[in-house]
Amino acid sequence: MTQTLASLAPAPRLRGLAVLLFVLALAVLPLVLPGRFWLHIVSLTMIYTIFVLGQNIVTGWAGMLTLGQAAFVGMGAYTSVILTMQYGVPWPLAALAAGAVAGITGALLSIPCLRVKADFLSLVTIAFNQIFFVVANNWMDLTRGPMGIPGVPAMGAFGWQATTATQQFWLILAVVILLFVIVGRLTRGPIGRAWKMIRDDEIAAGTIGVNVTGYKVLAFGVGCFLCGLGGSIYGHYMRFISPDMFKLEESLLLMQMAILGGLASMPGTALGVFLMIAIPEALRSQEPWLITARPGIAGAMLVLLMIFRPNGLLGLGETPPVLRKLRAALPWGGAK
Amino acid sequence: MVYYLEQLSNGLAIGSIYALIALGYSLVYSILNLINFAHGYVIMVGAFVALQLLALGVHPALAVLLACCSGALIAMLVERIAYRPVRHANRVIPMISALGAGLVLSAAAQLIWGPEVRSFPQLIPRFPVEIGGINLSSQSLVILAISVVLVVASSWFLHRTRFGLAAQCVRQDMVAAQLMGIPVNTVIVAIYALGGFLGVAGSILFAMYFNAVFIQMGLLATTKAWAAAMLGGIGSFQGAFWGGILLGLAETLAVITVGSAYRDGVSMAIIVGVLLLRPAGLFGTTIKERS
Amino acid sequence: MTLLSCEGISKSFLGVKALVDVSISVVEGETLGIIGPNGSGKTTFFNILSGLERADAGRILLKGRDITRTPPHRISAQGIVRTFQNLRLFGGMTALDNVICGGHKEAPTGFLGQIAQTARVRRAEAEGREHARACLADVGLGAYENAFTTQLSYGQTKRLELARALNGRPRILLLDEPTAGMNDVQAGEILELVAAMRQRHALTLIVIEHNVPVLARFADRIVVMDAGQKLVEGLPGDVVRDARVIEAYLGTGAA
Repeated sequence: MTQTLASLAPAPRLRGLAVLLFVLALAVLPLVLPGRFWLHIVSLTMIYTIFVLGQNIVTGWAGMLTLGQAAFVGMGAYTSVILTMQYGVPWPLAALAAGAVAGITGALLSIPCLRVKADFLSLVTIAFNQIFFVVANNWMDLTRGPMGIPGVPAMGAFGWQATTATQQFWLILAVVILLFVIVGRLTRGPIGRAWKMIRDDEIAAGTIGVNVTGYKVLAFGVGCFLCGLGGSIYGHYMRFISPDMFKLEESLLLMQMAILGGLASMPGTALGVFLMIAIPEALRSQEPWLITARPGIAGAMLVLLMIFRPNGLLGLGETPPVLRKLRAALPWGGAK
Repeated sequence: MVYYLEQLSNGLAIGSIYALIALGYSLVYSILNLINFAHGYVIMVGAFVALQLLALGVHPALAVLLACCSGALIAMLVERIAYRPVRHANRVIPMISALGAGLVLSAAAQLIWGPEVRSFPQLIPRFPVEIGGINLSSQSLVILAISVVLVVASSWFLHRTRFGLAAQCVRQDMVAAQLMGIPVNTVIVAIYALGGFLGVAGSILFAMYFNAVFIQMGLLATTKAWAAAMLGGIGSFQGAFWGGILLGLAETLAVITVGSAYRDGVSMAIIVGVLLLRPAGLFGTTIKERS
Repeated sequence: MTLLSCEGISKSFLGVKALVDVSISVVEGETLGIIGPNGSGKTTFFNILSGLERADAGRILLKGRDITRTPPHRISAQGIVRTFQNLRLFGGMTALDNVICGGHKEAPTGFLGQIAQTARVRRAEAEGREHARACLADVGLGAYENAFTTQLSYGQTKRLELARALNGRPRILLLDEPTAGMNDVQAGEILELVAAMRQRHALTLIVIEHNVPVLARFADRIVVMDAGQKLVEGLPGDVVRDARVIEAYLGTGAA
């Protein structure tokens, strides 16, 4: 049995080759794609991948349900936009600051709830998202409120700016690759294992020597850092930000993408974003109802996933015996 | 002084509405240790059902009753489909599937009734009631009366009946209750149904009080209900009630002192604040992870 | 010399007294067996030792240092490692990963070092993996590296948890009913395995067991607990013949 399981996973070298081919294919996309529309969709998908990676570290690796990541995205976006526009800070620095502000806020916010019960983290993050929205909407001097901030400078540094769609695409791709490498290294080593231990069994993790609260706060800090950094890219890519872009509904979408694609899985993260951003955005003009129905369709898929494959489509772990569970889930079956 | 007393009655009325909604969350939490994220969406749908029935010309009393029953029914369906199959899974999983079910309800409601804010007919005649020189609104008084009756009735049901006793057993030890022959599944379904029924009653009163029904009221109600539950102590019946009243009063105070834009900020601040300062709730006892 | 000493430990849950003024100590290299009926406070004692519960009164000294209020991960770092009666394996990982996790304390967890994948980090990771492999092989599960815990038999999961604990480089290993649910032959095999490990890693052991005859052959000293109190303490041969023990186990009059 273990033999078959091992044979299912591609050999590491083969997997590396597949990833390399995929990245190369992405990199040449701007040269072959017919128009700006498609380039925009792929760029947007890549940016969302950063957000969902942040969500996935908290929810997938460390097993905590956070429902307010959009607030951290927004926090990063506003930090970066205000720093570049009002204080003339170069974008790379502003982006790092955006990540740091979001990460530190997130870590500080998580400490009190983690001491009590991780479940309440979900409530606190909901409340935090709503507070963020109210503040962003009403602090006119800083954020211009519901009018938003237009005319955001494009990404760039040292006198160079990514002004064309193609340049932006390549810049975003480079950042995403860098982040995937970093998160990959973190999660495959002892830090990622500690997160997974906490997810699977906090008590055992503690007696093994894992500082449970510390690693939870770390997960939250890293997850929020990624969201903040992604928020900076988002703001400077869209060239406009407003509080509406960072509402609670957006957070719920991020959560859905992380779970749908695969908890604690980086390819899963990309898959979730592809399903829930790339497809509906591509069909936006033909099938406008899809955007409205998106949370519902994904919601239904979440329920099914939780029953049959709780780690998401590409999540790790063995496939549960689907048929038995299916029987248990039917109205005439019994809960086991 | 008179002005403040008048506002006090408004605060009590809105607080009692929050209490009704919070009870649904608190009941499920007390028995299953689950934050039932679907609850807010269930009661939002219930309010829309009431609106729809009224538009079809159904008698108001019957429409409200039917809407409450629809809430109970939907809550039962959520339990059966999204919760029961994952009851024994890792704690996060039932929360996610409850949220998934809620998002299905939300999207369905939006496709059926649209994203706009709808006004809700005033079923309670509005006229000033003068008591000792203070002008109170008939609406506030009726809302308060209805809520108190519902809360007292449910309290009696949960504390003085055989069902209530069974629910207490399930709460304390689900496995032992099952072994003792208590129909655990039935008890849980009934708790969900009761929560849905009370919650829709609350959401209809909410819709009347603010003259608005809208998709996002599900999530808004979630925040408010949890703020109430946290104020009063999570998982406690009385706690949810008094927490709701307290939240209503706090919101009213915020409205008359700093302005109505900050009404919704109160509950969010309470959630964050309570967890920061007094994690067990104002009146609650310590909650610790079971080892 | 005395390695670990617990002095006057008391603990109650909502008024129920789980432990009353219990004092137990072990010397280096010793194997202490703890027996007692269900609910006599054995597992609570382990929970307090490993920092999962906090004692209401009393103190715990490890080589003279007070660890009474030390959190679990620090206690583990000082070499007290345990297993659980009802198994607490990581369900989302393979057998090998479970054992690798057991060596968490030895792994370099510096954030930047992990991102940079320095030579030191890579070497430590490779060594950690090899050490884990060796532990897995030691308990006879070398062929099951990639199996998930749900695919192992009950006896195998018991061994897996033992391997995970061994990979934590324990000085004191707390075993909570390592042979629960096994027949005498299987139980004998497990304890033989533990004895071999004790020898090889110079372990000090505290073992909770129900199987008194098996334990009597294995332990240097036995403590009998009943209703949260230490009833008897002594050499295995004396303890199993003690009238009070027979009474606690079999009821009045059986002696």
